[in-house]
Amino acid sequence: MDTTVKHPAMNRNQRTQALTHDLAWQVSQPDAVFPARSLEGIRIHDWSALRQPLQPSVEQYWKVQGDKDKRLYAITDAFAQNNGQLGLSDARFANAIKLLLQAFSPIEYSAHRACARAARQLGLTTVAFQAADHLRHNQLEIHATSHFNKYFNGMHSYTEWFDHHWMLSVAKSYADDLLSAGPFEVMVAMAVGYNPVICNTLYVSYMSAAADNGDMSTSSAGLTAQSDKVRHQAAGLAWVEFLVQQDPANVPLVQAWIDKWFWRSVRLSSLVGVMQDYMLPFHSHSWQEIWTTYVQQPLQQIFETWKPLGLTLPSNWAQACEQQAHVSHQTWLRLCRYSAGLPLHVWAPNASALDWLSQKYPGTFDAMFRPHLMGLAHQIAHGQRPQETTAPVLCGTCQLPVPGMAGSAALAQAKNLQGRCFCSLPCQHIFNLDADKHSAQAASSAQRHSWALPASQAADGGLFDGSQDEHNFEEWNGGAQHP
Amino acid sequence: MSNVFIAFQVNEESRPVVDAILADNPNATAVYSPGLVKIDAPNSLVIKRESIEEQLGQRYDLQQMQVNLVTLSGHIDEDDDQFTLSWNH
Repeated sequence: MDTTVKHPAMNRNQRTQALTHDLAWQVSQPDAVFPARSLEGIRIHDWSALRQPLQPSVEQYWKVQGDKDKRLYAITDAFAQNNGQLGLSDARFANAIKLLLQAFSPIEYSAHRACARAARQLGLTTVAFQAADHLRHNQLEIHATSHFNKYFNGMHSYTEWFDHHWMLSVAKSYADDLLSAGPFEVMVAMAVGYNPVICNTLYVSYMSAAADNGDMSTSSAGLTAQSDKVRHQAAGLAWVEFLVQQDPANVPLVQAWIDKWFWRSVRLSSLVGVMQDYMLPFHSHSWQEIWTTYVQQPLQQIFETWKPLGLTLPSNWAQACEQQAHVSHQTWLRLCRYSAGLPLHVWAPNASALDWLSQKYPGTFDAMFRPHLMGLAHQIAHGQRPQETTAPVLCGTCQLPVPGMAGSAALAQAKNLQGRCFCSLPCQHIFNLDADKHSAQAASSAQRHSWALPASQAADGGLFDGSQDEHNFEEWNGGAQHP
Repeated sequence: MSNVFIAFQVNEESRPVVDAILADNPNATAVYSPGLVKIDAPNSLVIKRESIEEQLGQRYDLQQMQVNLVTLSGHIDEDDDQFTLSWNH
């Protein structure tokens, strides 16, 4: 008679290991099945050594993701049914929603494509989940912001603007760089650039502040997106450790990707900086405070534990940290200068906003930026708003404007240099690492110079003062007789 | 000394988790901002299934925590009964 043998229960990690890591099937020709594994110079000797923290089973994945979406869509539905747009702190705030949709949602879609490819090329289930997550983030951001699109300008043609507008070129080039990178690089880029620098600021602190400004819709979408990104972050850090532990020859390759993607993400994060410091009528934490809490301190800790592995903080770390006292102000002043052709509205901050900035940025704001912003307010009040009509020269790598290079003479000079103008030494360094790839991008940025908002989209740009958004919001709130 | 942190969306599902964490980690502090609660703790932080179940009065799978999880910092060590964050590697 058979007796039932009772096995001790396995915990979740052991179960995952048992279910996914040993199918008693050895690929006889791994190079033929996974040819891209050998293209970037990374050497892996034992794939089974890869830890994948927080990895769910497929069954758990669908269940947890389904629960997240049920919660989110209940909130976005309620928000729309309750005319949530009327409860925004101010119509100025809608411009932060526009920037999220224009610059960051398309990156999520590109991340989806990049991860879907990497999942196949590397043969990793976690990465396939991550690909599905990024598609989810792209979609839920579109859904959460679609309600505002019914009431505000600046959202209807966001994919067209992402592809063509110079202001969004920083985001577009970031997405294209990701899409054209090898699978090992894509996963390092997510682990040390996109997740810790962009997601940990935009999808955490900014989304909390959005809730405070009356936008429960986007806020809930952002926070639930971030719950997936925690999983990506945990898996990403394990990925970096795995790569450098597999072979000493991997260390310099991984370090170069760390240096590159941290810096690219820092440059991109200037857009999160303006959202945080300038586009929130109800102020929250400053961009610099968020940078310190969610980027600088956690990354310092991570790299401290990575020292024994031979990895160091990004080579541009000190420069990146130092920039954070300036970057949101510089970016906002630039947006104001080019306001006429942007797909969003800008304005001169009022006196209480200036005081708040001065309190948050002691030492830099009053000395360097306040006079310019007061000058801008004066110009606007006297009908002398800046009307820069030519697009600025963009950096050959990060695609943000190169300081001091504006006007038609500078554009001609940039053309002679075939786009090889740089905002900073780290950007020049990144360009030189893969000059062919970045030259192609620089060439397409020249096309962006000649692209302008169509006349039919004039209501999407310019100053907030006197805009259709301002007028409508006042009218609705006056007419709705809110308590 | 270095901090680890974990943050959740503020709602009725995450409240018993936050309460259990604060009870099990006397050095942990919770900071609330709109929609978000961030818990900081020096060096390490432990989340125990049993403590959450005591708060809830029903069974709890630590996977459920991910529904309301927003972000964290620290290395993760997890099994069915507990979830630990620390910088000890």
